[in-house]
Amino acid sequence: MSQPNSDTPSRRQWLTQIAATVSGATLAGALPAAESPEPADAAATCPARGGVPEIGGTLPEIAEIASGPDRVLRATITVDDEVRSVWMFRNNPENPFQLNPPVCREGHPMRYFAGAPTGGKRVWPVAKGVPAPGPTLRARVGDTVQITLLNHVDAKSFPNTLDLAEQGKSTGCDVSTTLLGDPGQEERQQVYPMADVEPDCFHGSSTANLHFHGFHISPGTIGDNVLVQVRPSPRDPKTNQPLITEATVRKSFQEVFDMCGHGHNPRKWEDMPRAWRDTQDQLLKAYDAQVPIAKLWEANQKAIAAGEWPQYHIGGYASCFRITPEKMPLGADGETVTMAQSPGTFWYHSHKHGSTALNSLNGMAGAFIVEGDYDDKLRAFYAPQKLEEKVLVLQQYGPGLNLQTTPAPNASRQGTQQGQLVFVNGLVEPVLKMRPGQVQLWRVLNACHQAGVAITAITPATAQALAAAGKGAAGSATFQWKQTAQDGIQLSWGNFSAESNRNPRVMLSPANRADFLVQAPSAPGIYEVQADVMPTIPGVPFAPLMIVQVEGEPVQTALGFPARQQDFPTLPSSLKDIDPATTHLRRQLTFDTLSFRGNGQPGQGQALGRAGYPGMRPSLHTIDGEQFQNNRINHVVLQDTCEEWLLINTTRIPQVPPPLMPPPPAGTPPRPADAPPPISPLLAFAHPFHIHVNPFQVVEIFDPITMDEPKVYEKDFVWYDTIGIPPAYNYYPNGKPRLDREGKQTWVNGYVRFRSRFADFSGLFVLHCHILAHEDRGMMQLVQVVPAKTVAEHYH
Amino acid sequence: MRLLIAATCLAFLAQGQSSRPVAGRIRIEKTASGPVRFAPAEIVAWAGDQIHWFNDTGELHEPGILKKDGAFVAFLEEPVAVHATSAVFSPLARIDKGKKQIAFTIPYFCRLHPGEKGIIQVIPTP
Repeated sequence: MSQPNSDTPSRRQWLTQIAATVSGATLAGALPAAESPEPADAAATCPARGGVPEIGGTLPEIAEIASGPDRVLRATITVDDEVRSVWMFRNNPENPFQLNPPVCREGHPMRYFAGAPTGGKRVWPVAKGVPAPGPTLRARVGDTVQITLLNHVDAKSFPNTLDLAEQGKSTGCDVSTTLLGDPGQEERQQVYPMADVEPDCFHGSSTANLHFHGFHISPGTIGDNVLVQVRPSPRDPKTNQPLITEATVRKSFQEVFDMCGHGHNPRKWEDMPRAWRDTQDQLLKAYDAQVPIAKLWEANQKAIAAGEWPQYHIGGYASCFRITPEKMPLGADGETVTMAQSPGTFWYHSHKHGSTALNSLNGMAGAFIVEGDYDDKLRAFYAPQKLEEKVLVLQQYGPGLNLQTTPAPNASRQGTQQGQLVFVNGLVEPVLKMRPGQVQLWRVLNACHQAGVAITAITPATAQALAAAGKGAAGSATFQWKQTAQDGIQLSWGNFSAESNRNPRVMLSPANRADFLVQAPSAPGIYEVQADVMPTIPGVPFAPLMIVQVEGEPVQTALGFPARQQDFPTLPSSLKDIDPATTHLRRQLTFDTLSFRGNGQPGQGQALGRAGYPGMRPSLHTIDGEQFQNNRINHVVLQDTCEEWLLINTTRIPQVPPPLMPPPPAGTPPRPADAPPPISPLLAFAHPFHIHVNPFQVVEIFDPITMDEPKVYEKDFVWYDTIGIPPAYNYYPNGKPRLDREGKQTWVNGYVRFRSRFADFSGLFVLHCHILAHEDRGMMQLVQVVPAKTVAEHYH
Repeated sequence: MRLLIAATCLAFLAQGQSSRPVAGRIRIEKTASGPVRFAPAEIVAWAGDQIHWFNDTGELHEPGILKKDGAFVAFLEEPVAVHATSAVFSPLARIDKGKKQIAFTIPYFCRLHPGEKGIIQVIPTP
């Protein structure tokens, strides 16, 4: 296959032409084949039907569904599927340190989130056949959120897994096989599940649910309940159209939403509308009649009889909650919440254990913006130029996970490093436009299923970016930016105004968000947003995340950034530093990945992933030495108490001495003395810890790769809901081996210490690694928050 | 050999859109005249792609190959159930002496319906 010439002018012109229209309506057939200056190369013309450029399309604006004047967000999210084309990373076995143009892969069925205002027309996606995030949801603190989830996946489009198990014909895990051996002497070889066993294996990828990531809401019933499983709607045998639709659920769901709107969420299944319960009974019984071993209805009945919420649903699900405001009433006895939802950048995504990684890789995630005082204050400050906001959703896309496919032999960048293209709002290296001197608010969401993305610099454009942008010259001035929020919670004034927050490098582990105020230079020009994508091999370059084109009329009033505390949003009072004296309990959790050598024995393999296939077993991911188990609660926490948790990562990175990072680009200014430690490049071995319902304040962190000693924070703690736990390492940053008391080189674990209040909401939820394949394969635990009070009294 | 590989790839590309690697689903369906067939009968896949079969008939099907000794090797651990989709078959790349991937074809048939035939053309992973 010939290599595309990425500098061919005619090709660039063609890409630019189609890029100009990519964010609009469906492009299918927009470019007649006869008019297409198609080079004789598959990658260069692909996808012929979608017209999405290899790089450089205009940054798509994702359609939004927002609260109405009555302060209710009514959205219908439909899980759908279609055959899609996707740009994918191209291996370069001869030189792993060289960037190759991506290749377009066509014809893959993929699932996606479509969105509509409930009762209205679908507003997203607008382009067919190409992956994209789900629609952006937008509401304000205190608003009520009413989500109608419909599962319209056509299970026939995807390999059968779960249903085979329910017929007693497999282990419950996805199964893939290949033929191994010389021609004429092949034998069948299992590719997956190998050593994985249910429930900690890839499975059930057509089952849906929703996680509202970062929301401080109830984890139960119709709140942030990721324990429910919504099977695809049955389909009309004649038309193949789904039978459960927005119209068929509308009446029942409206009754649920009305209850919720009055502050009376259902506590048990009997509180749900009778008609909906009857419908679900019928659907589950019909399913069980087809698949007798499944017994979903029976499982539900058992749960209902025990006073628990049933787990299995078919076709649709109603989610409803109020975005927790300060002093929101809890119950009828006058109690109010102790912790409000912060306004900020949050998100929603699929969270079916066993298929979170694959569904995420298909694109099933979207931003959820919660507005409040944060937005009011920033908009007021920038009123003279009107603060423009960009929601930037970073995703990796693909039709299948690497463990479920045979690896390419002799490919040096395979396994977990395969397919590391990071898309922004569905495009590779899109072009974002700014006016000279303009300040924009960038809300960056790392929705990648496994890649960490470190935003490192904004630099003058290279020739390739110039060609992709279509016009203009490389910029020569410098951008200015400041981080304003982490994981949806604004920084304190002290952290925002610190010198270390001047053009900071910010690491976004999978699931992290960061908001930035970004100011363009005063002169036109084209720039690139540089990023490190992890896991990676030190020294391997990565394509820029975005191209920034500074053009047009300069803003009238260049405002810079808020320099006075009164101009910066005030941290909600319930999100001030947690007093360590209130700590009720301390816990310690140990995260570990056990790798296997080519002979199947524990030990560090020759390379990441499955380079030794079929001899190399997939790695084993555990918390406290165990994988996730059904029906087992790992942590019981008293509601409204503060706990301090120590998260340890004993995963060892290969015994490679420093430096582990490539040298910074020429011209990079020296780091300020009080700047945070440099970002570790080997986050393949870090585990991004995430816990539902309650954010936490990091009080101490130790990354043996970049730190001699732990960093302890005394005040102005930063809130997170996800943080990468650094791995173990056996060298100091200066290259000196770390030694034990006997003088032998020793491994030192990375760790994170945090404090959290398990405030306001009791119930069952999960913590897990947000490298989602790790979660699917067992790196997850159940947390039960129980009320700290009883109704029993003893004075009578 | 490299010229041969390149020529093979270009030959696929020269056939136009339909011969681009389109992995995914192969339908097992009845023809108007009665016999059952794989549709499409011939697909092009990159090594490592995921392939599965959707059985739209009322009978089991079991795609696989014959070895030189005449033994049948099924692609999948289970036959494709009635009106259901199969598990995944992912063709492993083949390499030449220089460890370069080469293109090859897998002619296959159904063990339960020997007249039901298909071809998987496997081309090197880009």
